[in-house]
Formats: sequence, structure tokens, C-alpha cells
Amino acid sequence: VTITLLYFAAIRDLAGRDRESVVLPETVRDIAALSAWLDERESLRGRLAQVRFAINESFAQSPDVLHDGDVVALIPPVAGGSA
Amino acid sequence: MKVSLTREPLSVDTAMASVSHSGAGAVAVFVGAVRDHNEGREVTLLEYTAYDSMALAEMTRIVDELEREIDGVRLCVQHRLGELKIGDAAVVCAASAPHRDEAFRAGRALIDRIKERVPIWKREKGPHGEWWVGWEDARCTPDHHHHE
Repeated sequence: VTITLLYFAAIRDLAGRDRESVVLPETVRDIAALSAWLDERESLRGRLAQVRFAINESFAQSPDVLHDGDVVALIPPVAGGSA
Repeated sequence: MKVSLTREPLSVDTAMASVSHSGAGAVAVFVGAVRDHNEGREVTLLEYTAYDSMALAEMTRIVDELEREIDGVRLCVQHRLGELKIGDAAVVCAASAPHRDEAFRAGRALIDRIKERVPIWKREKGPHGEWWVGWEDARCTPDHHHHE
């Protein structure tokens, strides 16, 4: 399965790029596994706890399965702020 | 237009006009502006960036769900991107309804959900440096160097 990863804001700075195409190992089938896989990279290690994932422009949940051609975005905490 | 992202100044009049109609006895407008301080630090500029296509999709989903949840409301959101100065409007929300209770409730829910869910980020700039708002452990300088 080949997916496109998009990086934004602080995560873009950490990753040093704004997008990349990756071929997933067979063991990486869902968002939870993808997050654990990315956490093995030195640039992102320990940085993903507060990061949400989106698949094809919708927020995804941990068990959501990845498909060939998916565009997966790493969404660090958004502007939000205090009410 | 119900939702928009723009690098141009926002217009309260346009937002109001897009939700006003003859059955709307109430129009509530919220303006989120850039303020000169955040968490004790002086702020001189805020730069807003977005995952544009998802931000538009998510704002549309929020408007659609609130129009289903609260009877008779019509909603509009404009969000600005780029470099904003103190006092500039960063976001304008307008909510119309037959009566004020629904208009206020819908407007409040609209801005709350936008701030929680729409992928837009703020980079704060002031005399103490610059950093991404909302993620204190990932302060990054303009040359993308990362500080612990």
C-alpha cells in the first residue's frame, strides 16, 4: 500500500518537508500502526501523542484502515486556544 | 458563500448578508481578532496557515451539522490566512435564526467547533521569538531549527 503523507505547521518543521510518498510495510494497516511506525523516525519520535490524523481530508480514528492512494495528513494541535 | 478562506481582509457585512433573510429575526456575529498578548508574551504578528482543502471541508461539515441540529439557523464562516496584525479580524462567524436564542447558541457552537476541529495553525511572532501556538514543546525558529 502506497500513501501520501502531508505534514503541517510544527510537524512540518520537525519532518523537514511538507509531503512524501511512502510504501507501507505489510504490518502497517491502520492509523494506530502508522503512528507507531512514524514514531520510529528520529525526527518524529515522541512527538505524535498530540497529533491527529486525517485520511482524505476527514479526521481518522486509530482503527481506520489505510488504502492504496490515501492522502494521510498529520494534524498537530490547531489554532484553537482558550475560549 | 457559507464558508471561505481568504488572504484578504474579512467583511462582517458580507457574512451578515449571507445569512440574513426575511424570516430571520436575529443575526449574531462573532469576530475573532488578533490580540497583543498570549500566555504572558507580547505578540506583534500572527501568521495563519491551513491545510486549505481540509479546512474548507471541515468548516462545511460543521456548518451542515449545526444547521441540522438547531432549527431554522443559517451560518457563515470566513477565516483569514497569512500575516495578521494586532486588531485584524482572523475569523468572522454569522448565525441567523428566527429568534435570538438559536442565533446565539448556533454562533457559539460554530466558533467552538471551528477552534477544535479546523486545521488552521497560528505562528506567533513577538520580541521573544516565534513559535507555533498550541504546542509549547515544539517551538521552532524561522530556519526550522528545533529547540528542546
